[in-house]
Amino acid sequence: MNHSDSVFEAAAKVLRRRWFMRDCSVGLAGLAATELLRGEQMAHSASFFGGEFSGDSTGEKSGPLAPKPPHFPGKVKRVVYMFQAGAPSQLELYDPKPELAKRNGQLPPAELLKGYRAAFINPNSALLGPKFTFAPKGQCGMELSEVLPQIGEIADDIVLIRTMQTDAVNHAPAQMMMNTGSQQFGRPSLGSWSLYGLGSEASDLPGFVVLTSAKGTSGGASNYGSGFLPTTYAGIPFRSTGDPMLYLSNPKGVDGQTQRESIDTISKLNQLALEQIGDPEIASRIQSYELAYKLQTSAPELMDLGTESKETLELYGVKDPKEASFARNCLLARRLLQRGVRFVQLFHEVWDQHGDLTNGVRNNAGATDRPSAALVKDLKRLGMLEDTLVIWGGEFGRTPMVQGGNDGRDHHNRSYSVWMAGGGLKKGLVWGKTDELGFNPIENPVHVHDLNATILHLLGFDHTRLTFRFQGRDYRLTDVHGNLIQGVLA
Amino acid sequence: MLLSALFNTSVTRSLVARSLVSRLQRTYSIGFFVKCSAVGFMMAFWFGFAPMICKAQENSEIDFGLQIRPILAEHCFHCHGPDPAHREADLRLDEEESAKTLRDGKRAIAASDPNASEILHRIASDDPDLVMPPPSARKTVTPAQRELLLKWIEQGARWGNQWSLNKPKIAPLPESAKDPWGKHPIDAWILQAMRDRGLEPAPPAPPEVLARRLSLDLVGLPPESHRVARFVEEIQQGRSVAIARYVDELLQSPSFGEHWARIWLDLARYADTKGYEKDLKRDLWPYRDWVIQALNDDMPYDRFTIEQLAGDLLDQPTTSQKIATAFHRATLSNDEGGTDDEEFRIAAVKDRVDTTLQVWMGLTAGCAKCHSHKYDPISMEDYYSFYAIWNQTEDADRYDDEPRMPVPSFEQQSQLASLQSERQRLTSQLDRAQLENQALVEQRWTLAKPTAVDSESHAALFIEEDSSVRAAADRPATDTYILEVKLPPGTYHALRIEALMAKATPEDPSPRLGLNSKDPNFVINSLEVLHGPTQARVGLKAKKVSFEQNGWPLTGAVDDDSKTGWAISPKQQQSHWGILELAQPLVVSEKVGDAEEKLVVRIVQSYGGHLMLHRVRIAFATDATVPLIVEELPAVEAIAKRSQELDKQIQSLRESIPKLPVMRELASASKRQTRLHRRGSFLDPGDALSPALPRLFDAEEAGVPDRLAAARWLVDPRNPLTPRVAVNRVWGQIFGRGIVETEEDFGSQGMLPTHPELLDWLAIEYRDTKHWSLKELLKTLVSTNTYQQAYVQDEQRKERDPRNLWMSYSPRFRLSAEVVRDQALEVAGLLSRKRGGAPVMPPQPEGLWRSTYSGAQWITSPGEDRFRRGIYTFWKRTTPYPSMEVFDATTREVCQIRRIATNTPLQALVTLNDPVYVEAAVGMAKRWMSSSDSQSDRIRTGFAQALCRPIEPDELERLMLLLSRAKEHFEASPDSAKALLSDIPFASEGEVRPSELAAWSMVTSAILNLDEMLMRP
Repeated sequence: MNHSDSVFEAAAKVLRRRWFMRDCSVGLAGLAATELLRGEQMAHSASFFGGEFSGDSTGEKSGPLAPKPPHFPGKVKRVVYMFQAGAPSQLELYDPKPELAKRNGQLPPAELLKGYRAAFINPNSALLGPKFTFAPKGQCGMELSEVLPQIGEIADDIVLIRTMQTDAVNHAPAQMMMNTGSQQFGRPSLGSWSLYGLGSEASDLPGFVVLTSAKGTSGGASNYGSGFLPTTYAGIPFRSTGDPMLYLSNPKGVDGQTQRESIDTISKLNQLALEQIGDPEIASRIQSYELAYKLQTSAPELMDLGTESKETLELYGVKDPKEASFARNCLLARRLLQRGVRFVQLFHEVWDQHGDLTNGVRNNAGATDRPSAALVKDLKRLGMLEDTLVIWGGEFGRTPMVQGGNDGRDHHNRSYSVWMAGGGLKKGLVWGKTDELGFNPIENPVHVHDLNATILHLLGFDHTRLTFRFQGRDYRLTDVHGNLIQGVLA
Repeated sequence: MLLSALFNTSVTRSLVARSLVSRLQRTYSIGFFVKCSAVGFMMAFWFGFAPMICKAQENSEIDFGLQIRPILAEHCFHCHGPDPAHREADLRLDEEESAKTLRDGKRAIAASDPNASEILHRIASDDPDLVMPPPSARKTVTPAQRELLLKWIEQGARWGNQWSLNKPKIAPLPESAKDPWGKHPIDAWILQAMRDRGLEPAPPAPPEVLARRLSLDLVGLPPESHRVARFVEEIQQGRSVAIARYVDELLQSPSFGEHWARIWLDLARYADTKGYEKDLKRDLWPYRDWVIQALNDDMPYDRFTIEQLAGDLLDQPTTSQKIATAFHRATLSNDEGGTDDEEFRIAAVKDRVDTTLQVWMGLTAGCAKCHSHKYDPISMEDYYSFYAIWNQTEDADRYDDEPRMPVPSFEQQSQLASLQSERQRLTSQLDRAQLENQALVEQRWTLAKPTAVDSESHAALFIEEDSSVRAAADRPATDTYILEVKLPPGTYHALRIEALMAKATPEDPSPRLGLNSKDPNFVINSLEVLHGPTQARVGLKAKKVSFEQNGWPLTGAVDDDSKTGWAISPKQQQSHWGILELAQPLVVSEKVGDAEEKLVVRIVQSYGGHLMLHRVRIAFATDATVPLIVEELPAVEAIAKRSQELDKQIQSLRESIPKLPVMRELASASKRQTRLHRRGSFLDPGDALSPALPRLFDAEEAGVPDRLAAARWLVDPRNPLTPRVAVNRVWGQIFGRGIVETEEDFGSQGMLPTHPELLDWLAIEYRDTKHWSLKELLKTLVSTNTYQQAYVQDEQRKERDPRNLWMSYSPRFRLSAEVVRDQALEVAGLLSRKRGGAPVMPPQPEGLWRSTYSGAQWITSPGEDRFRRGIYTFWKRTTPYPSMEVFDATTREVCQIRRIATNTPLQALVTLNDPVYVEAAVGMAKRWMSSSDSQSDRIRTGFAQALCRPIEPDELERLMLLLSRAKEHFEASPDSAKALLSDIPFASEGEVRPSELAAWSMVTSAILNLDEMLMRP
């Protein structure tokens, strides 16, 4: 492909000239704020994927997704967020409450119900004892439910927060809250902010990839959208069947060579236009087509688990490598992280046990326990856990009170559990304590904004300074809130 | 000639540019560099960039609003601004009085006395305890800004307003107005700004480029090649006439409204679903069609505003005015189980407040929801007082989305009218037939005339004129009525007993069927007929009955069981009858009055609870063989059946009529009390507030404002923002960027106008001279030299106007998602011209719609609905149409003032591989192939059709190469050709060899993917 090489070489040359950053940043010289430069970089959507043209001899960087340094050296470089949508019951999984068991069937104390907002039930419903037993796990003795034997095995690697709190009590707004820091639509997601701040190191894959198992998410595309940031920063959903990405395959009947021929022609004509017109955006377009072509190979290759060993498949509990499942997505997440993808988010919406709590939680734990733990073990084995952040959690928790007969729980936003593992975090730690019935935190409450501030901190950002000016205001993920959870930091 | 002089001057500056001259003359386009798509420059220039800075250095008077206030706003207002909660030292720098007041022997700002002005000392201080802004703010006033402040104070520190709150005023035209290029005031201002920076305008764009540019800008579609050819020809005769005629044609095209409506619908956050988890369908499209129509009709912007915000409150609003109010019903609605409707109703009202201020006035009031605005003069009280105006509509996040208004299409209206008139005709036919039949039937029955009546309890019974017997209500709980009746002589075969509604009487005012007023049912446990001297009992057999209560049939009244009987619950609200056959014929002889013929009817009602007849009538029939009741007559039955069918049709037609959510004001008795939401939380209500308009400019205040008053306030001639914001948005559409780049923010945190005098001139021109006419405004804009420039680059432009802020060349920017798609279908000859109606579903990949709790499905539209303009594509908020999303269309969950264009490989994948674009490529190939037998001619013609310019030899050569390689592939593999064409119905039409069509489709696909194709030239 001599011909095409020369075309891309020429395009690259134009891009490297980067007249704007060199010539025009003079005018901005007085401005120390890195955000300004970020803004300028965004103007040149030269390289969609990071890496491609970064770090040439002049040290210039280009493209909205070129790797960028954070505010201070981050402890982690990448994130995998296993979002457990629907709200897993912390009382059956992570937060043992023997007293709740003793008071099964009794009404909750009136003082706990003051101002209580449940979604469906009358808050003055009987207490429901936990359905499963808990036992200490690992060296640290973290108490975990009997339905999480595998996560029990990584107890010494994780930080379990039992005192998460959120503002919303319904799924869609609460998922938005967790993922974008606001119940209102139009805000960038955590993954988008990460990408905006750090760029991506993946040379031929998107920087923010979303994988979905079970049902679609209640919050829809906005859960991983870019909000007011350019769409370059939006999460790209990979599909579990057919093309991993939309429109990835050549049109039917068009083979690789013909597609290559087409792209070469397009690039050649664009190159002619570039020479005549000189608009660097044309060079970006030429690059985009080349990257699109690469993606047509790299994405299917990524999705092909044929190269993974039998042991690995077993570790994750992948039964059929072709069939969509949470287990498969966990393994794919590891493959994405290995290829430099900045942020991988798994959505698994199954946890809304208003009824059939015992079976529901047991089955869901059965499907998620092994792969979740496997991802941590595998990253550790590969030496990647040190600079990766793994997060597991949903949008809120479930009530200590019963819903329906004696086998369901409603939405509870005052305390729920989330765990994290990876670089910069303590290990084998339980953070926060809820009261004996699991209503409220009595020690170290953690608001969603605190969690998000901490996640950004681990990536190397002061959450108050990672901002984007929109509608006259410097917006940030944590709005005007958020405190670092110092106690979980190593 | 001056133009050529300009041209020559600029081209001699650079070799590269010189080479471009020939290209420009040869073909279409010159230019060197720079695409400044709208992408995120907003941050770079907020700090102190202002076009006036250089003038300040020339010692001209400093403009407070444009030069000083932005510095104060950026660095000081956070702690010394409108928000009392964060105010430090009780000092306000947003108010003249506070800023200049002497306190502790010091003044922040001392007019004409820099030394006494504390502010200058503080911003220059090295002492971390004294320096302002404090180190924690991480902001520093730049030396240039300090210089400006100093000069301003020296000049007397004249105070003023935030620039955008000053009334727009016409400034005297600059020097450059004398230049022929600057004859038009717009050009004068643009030229002046260029010259101030040592720039000169670009030469006029070649006619072909102008033709494509105008068409894409005004109607969002490429021009047809024959029209381009005519335009090029006409332009030789006279440039401005040719352009004016072409522009008029475009503005008259119905496609105009479709293109500009798309832009408005981003602001209106229009979608076809309600949002959130369930994201159910909502019939909002009649509103979309209203917008298209209003734009095509060139409805003045003031009316356009008032009808959308308060059409329902106008005197005698028309249907169209009510449809317009759906603008604010496009807010999200949360149907998720377990939600508090009030929470999401309030969220919708807040969205309306924010959207209104944003769209019309470019103000972001959102901050004032939780705290007083830190930079702009909108306090929390102001916010919630304005909110109170919008807080009075009936909608309340209900599942049914009420209030809604049926909006039948013309067809539906006429169909409904014809069904209803037929139904009416049938009803009167039925009534007539029933009356006739009634009369017929009545002839067959002979009323038994009561002669003496009594009851077991001896409580009163009355004989009525119509031969019925009425029971007094005052009687025991059970009773037996005993009726002695008289019949004319004859042989009788059947008996009819009627339970009739009692008429109201003074003693018993409520008419009813049974005696028990709570349950006017009756139970006849036994019905006995006794005849002759021996009072022999005549055997009875139940034949037919109007209605029988479950378990209480008419036979129960004639069997031997006293526990059984006839009752009619739940049909207590109508009269009833029962027909019984006599076991033996009853022969009544002529011996009138003889005891021989004594005929008694006993009605035993022993159920209890006063479940007894109120009025009863007995009749006998002589002939049991003829039909004895109405319904059995076939004519009546036929009519009744047809009526039922019609009712069903009417019902289903009514259900198919879209029901548009509209705004409707609450009745005054049920108006809501508005309270401030402390910290923005509706669960934490503060003081009660009355509705009020923000005091942002001097407006007349008359009584308590409602939505209509608010709408009129927005378009009040004294409102300084509305016309500025509106013209700026239109400018942004036409030139790729607004004069104020932050189209969404005209507050003190937004960017400053590059051409403030021009912005004011446009605002006044639009409002006062053009009377808010969008089409007139556009005509003005596109007639300027500024608009008609070519895209040119050279070293000087690269250096002095890299972002094209000074418009020294025509901008080049990516087409919007909808235009990219519409253009492809149009050049393929596939685009449908069908206008309006329910949204359509063009092909999209399977399995995308996966809402958590919704079974809604994407079902690809048939026929031409596959090829409708993008504006008609079904817009699902949680899953927008993917190919458009990739081209930066939004989810339409909130108001979006402008889309930020990106350039990504995902876009390449769409235009290369999306079946929609493959179909377009095949359509295009068919068109090309029918144009000529010569391969190169086909390419020449087709290329010109698509890009409105002649192809260059090297371009032709490369496309010929692609064609031959593609042919090789498809001829070697005919199955591949078939596969490519397999899902495209029109591909097999006509005599075309699949392998050839497939090969040509690769060439046309390449055209669709060219950068030039995707860019506005």
